[in-house]
Amino acid sequence: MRFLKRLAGHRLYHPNALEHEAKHAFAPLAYGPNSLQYKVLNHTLEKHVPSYGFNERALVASLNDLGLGSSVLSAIGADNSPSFLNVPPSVLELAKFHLVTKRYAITKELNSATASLEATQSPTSLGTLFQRRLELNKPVASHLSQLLAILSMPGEFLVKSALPELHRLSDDMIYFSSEADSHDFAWYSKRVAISCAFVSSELFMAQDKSPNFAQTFEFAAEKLHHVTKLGQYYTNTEEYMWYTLLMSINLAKSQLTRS
Amino acid sequence: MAFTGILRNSGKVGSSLRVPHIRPFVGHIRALRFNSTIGKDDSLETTHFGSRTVPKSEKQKLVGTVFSNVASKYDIMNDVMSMGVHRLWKDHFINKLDAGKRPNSKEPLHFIDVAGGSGDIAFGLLDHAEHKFHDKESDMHIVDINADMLKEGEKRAMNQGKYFNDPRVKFLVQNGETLDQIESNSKDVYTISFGIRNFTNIQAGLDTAYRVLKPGGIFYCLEFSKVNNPIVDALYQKWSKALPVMGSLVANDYDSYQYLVESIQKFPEPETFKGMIEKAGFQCAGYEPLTFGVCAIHWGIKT
Repeated sequence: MRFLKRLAGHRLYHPNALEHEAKHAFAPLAYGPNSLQYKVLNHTLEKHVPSYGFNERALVASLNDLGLGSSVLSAIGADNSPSFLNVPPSVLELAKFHLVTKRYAITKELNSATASLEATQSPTSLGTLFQRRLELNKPVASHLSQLLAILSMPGEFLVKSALPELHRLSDDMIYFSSEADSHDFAWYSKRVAISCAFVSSELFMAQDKSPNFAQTFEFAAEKLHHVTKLGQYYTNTEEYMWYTLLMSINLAKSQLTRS
Repeated sequence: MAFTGILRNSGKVGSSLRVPHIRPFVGHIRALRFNSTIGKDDSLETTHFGSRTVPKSEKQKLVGTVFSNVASKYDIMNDVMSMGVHRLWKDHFINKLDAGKRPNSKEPLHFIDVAGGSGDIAFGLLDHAEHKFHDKESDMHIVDINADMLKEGEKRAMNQGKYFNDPRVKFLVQNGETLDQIESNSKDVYTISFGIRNFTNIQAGLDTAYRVLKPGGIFYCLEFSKVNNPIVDALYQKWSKALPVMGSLVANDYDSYQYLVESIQKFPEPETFKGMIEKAGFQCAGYEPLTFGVCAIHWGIKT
């Protein structure tokens, strides 16, 4: 027993299952919920983004509220490089912060719900999570087109932050819902399809004028239904093709052995 | 990698075997080294000067000689050695930092550019703030340990007719490790470009940066780094061997540029340097390699 303990206490040269790096609270972000950056960005997102949008004015308004100087903008944006068409690094960080915190928010609610009600409730469906994420967009809905423009600007930010974050969102939505997952190429196509459905729903939301975004949720539900149906078509076709292929091979084999 | 290792080693052997009579026109660095009368107790503590080991108390003087020698040819040599890329690095450094007092912000910023004698980063930062944010209030301390380099900056300011005799811009001869004329918690942005490599005690320099910055201030550093790609590294090592030759052709100074190459090789790996920044107390330290890691931008935030 003592030997085992001593063995576990040693750090091994090769990576192993015994030790791993403690995960950061908001993984792709370099700061935790107690940091200065979090305080400023959270304040901006809640107080000033709904009126000013995703730009530096909102950030500066927050800094003035919190009694901080302009140098904090440099501190916030340190991780990013200014993007094509000169979007400031601090605004890119604000967009990233929005994506990451909202992604964690949908699963956080889920964790507390399952902890209190245990297994009595049926597991959450993909549609519920999808809808919940869109609901979190409601306060900034009028600035969604601006946000999507920032996120889709070709460059480093698109490759390093915007697309991976979209993938993590669809990955989380599938992982935490009751949705069945596959272990073949469909793993990828499913995530891509859900990402597409999400982005098109956001685009719809940016233009939506209906009360309480009712049309957006209708659109999203329909889009998601299409995706799952298409997925089924795909799986069925794939299964049929495999069956036909193997059968033809066997048929050919049997014919060859006969002659 | 073995190939580059051999290159590096051969460089070291070469420099330690060099005898004065081969290159008589560059004797003063070595002269300083041989003629110095440093107390025995001081010389016990040693540090590196390029690939040579020298007493700690002497490095500052040696680096001073190097920069006094290169001051007048500084710009042209930078262009020759980096093939002009250093301008892109500095531009990116300034744009990425994106500092300046915003139009609807209250307080102006207080910049300090350490080891910024030539003034290119300092003037670039002020120009960026003015063009982008119409900020004509923020002030700048340009600090360098070497009065000759600082004079180059003043000369440049005079020639461009801007930032000379400007109450916003102050030139100061200061040791970056102590900055004893700069108050604690007084600066918003601390920049240092291609300077921290020459500090006798890098950690002391970082600790001082932490001291002079206000909470919420940012440390921003542009410095040579390590090339990751083995093929590019092999080319880079070849290029490094040519630098002292270029130095002797353009600036008639072999040893100063030999020191430059060796000091780049001695500078810690980016991860190690990041650890040092964190050790000084900075949060959210990070770095971005530029041009395959020839250079890197390092930063840390004081909270």
